[in-house]
Amino acid sequence: MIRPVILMFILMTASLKSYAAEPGQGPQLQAYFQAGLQSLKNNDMNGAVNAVMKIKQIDANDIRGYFLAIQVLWKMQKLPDLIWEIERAEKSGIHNPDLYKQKILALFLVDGFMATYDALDGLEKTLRDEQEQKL
Amino acid sequence: MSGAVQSLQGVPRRNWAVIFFAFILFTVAFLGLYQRHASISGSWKFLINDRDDYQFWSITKGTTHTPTDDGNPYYFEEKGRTNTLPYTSPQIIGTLAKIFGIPVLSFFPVWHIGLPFISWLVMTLALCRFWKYSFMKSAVITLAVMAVLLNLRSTAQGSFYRYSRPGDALCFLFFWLSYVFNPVKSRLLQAGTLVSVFITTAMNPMIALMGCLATTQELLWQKWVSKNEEKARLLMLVFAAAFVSGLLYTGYVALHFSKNPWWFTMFANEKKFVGQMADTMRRQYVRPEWPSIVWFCALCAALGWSRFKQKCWTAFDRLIFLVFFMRLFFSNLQLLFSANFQMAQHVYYFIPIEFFCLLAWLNEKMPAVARSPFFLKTEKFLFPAVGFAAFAVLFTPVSFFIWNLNFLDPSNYRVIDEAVLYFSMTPMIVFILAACCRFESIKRELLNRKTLACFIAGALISGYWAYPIPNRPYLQNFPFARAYAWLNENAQKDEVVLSAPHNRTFTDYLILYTDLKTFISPYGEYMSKRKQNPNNIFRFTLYTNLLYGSLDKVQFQDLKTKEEKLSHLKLNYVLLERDTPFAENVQRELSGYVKQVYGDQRCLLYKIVLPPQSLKS
Repeated sequence: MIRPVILMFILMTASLKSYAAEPGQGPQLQAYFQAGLQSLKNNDMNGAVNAVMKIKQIDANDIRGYFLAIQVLWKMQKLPDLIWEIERAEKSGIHNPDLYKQKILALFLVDGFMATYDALDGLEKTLRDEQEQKL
Repeated sequence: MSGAVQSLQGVPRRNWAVIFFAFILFTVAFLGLYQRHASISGSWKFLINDRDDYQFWSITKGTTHTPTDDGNPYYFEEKGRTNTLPYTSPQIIGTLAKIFGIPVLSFFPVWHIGLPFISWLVMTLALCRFWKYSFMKSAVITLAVMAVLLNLRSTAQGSFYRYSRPGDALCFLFFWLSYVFNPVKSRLLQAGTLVSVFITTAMNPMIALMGCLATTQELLWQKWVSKNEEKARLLMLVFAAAFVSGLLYTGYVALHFSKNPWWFTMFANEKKFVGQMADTMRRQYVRPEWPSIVWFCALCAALGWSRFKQKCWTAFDRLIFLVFFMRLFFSNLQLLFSANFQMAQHVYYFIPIEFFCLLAWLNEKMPAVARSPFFLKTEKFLFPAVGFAAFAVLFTPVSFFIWNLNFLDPSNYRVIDEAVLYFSMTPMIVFILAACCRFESIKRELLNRKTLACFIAGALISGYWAYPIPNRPYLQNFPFARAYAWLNENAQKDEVVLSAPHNRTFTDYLILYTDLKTFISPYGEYMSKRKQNPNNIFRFTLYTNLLYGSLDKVQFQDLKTKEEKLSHLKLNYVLLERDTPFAENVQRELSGYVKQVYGDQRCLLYKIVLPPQSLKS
């Protein structure tokens, strides 16, 4: 009886190894997202799929995160460059309220009001910064 | 009935003391946990921190309305709409609140203390009556498992503590399964099981499916394999109850299908969405969930070997097979139907049952393993090897299974796949069980009262301490308490309030603390997602353009003037947090159309005042 138990442990260890993803994925989510958007822009479907699957690994139990990512990447083909535009701008440190507004609309169309909260937070922060600068 | 009374009278005083102690324990745990929430929100009145919990209490509130509008309690335009799928627990609480005239949130502490307490009590009684452990042992095992679950890095943490699901039905499923694998001729236990069958089905049909399959499996087993006619007869009664409860549930859904089938719309959308995917993406989406498959195969291999050695299938063998078959099935539903219908995301409902089964099954098998000649010959190497595996798993960022070990890599908050969770935990469980079987002194030390008490206390303290508390902007320092008091005194029932900024619509206490409706809510949007429902788009467009200060520019159908837009859907008040950069825009946009009726240091409340001709009748 002990042999199959040992075999089971070997299987477990092997399975864990094969399943292992990179550590510290939390902050990498955005990077994968960017990579996926960039791939779509370059018509590289394989790259986009890879990015989605990496996002899925991070948020395996979060249906919203998963679907949001997959839907955004998929529907991006139809929504004219709205989201990646703002992602690119954000990355380069430009926080333009108009771009946020476009992103909020795009996210709403893709996944509803709930999906827009983070972008609305971003817009709120940008406006707050602008108002503080004026003062 | 008299049997039940006699049973209660026969309960020793010491057991009552244990039950009372458990109640106090869960009360203290509630206060400790929610003290953290209260310090974030700024008040003990605002404790909801989870969107599912919020939806639960909203539906509860909807049940108190006349007519009932649990199908969408948020929007005035959806008033009177009921749900297609029953949400039994909030409906029960809402009905109680309505009958006794109590505010729904008064039930919040009762629910969050009562749910883990009742779960503990029912599972303890099931262990005691069916699995023949003493009451004390059952109480300790149940409490220890619940305490350990709190510390696991998975969705298991919330099993008995968040929202209604899965906690509201889990203990009843536990009772049901316990009876099915240990059927006894006792009217009290039979009645308890039948009640459990109906409650489980009504509360959560997904987990009731496990009970139905277990009943069918055991009925066939007793009838044709064991040829135990008496047990088969007892199980036939449970089978009939499961069949009737399933029929009643299906009948309810069929009768209410036209009411608000938003769940079905969501499922249909998922299927449609998969159909629209590019081939490469579909192949990636519709793929096997390997950890659950590998885990199930490993389990089957171990079960096969155990059968080969012991020449029989024990109740635990059959139970663990069924329990993990359910995981395999739900995790890989996409292979059968192209879409998974969110089942893989909800398999965590089964974790407490799976965890109990795994512990019990390993505990049953380990003595035989520890006595085997091979084990005795190689134990000098096996113990260090398994111990090392347990240690290595625990300190590897991808496989650590104790939530508190997040400090190893604070950025890694990925929830572990539960099949991987079992792979990760098993070496440690096996190590401890093997050590207990092999060395009497270790067993004596570990099962010592003081050691157990310290372990459970430590697990409970660390579990509650580490329980993740979201600290998002929408939960912080809730500003509208006094405005709600004003609205309760001055507003008419069912008037509509728009809360701003967006953060305050996420966990909007308005509908919970007043009898008013909200103008926009992400949950209201979900629950009104039907074909050709333009109101959702209108609400979003009006709301965001109000925040942006561009209400004039927005185009919607044939609405041209601001008056027409503000009166298209019912809107009576605008509740605005002072400290938001959107405040200026909102005030400018509404200037001339509103009158300020209330204000304090945190918020402003405006009443919409439109020219009479623009108001809808």
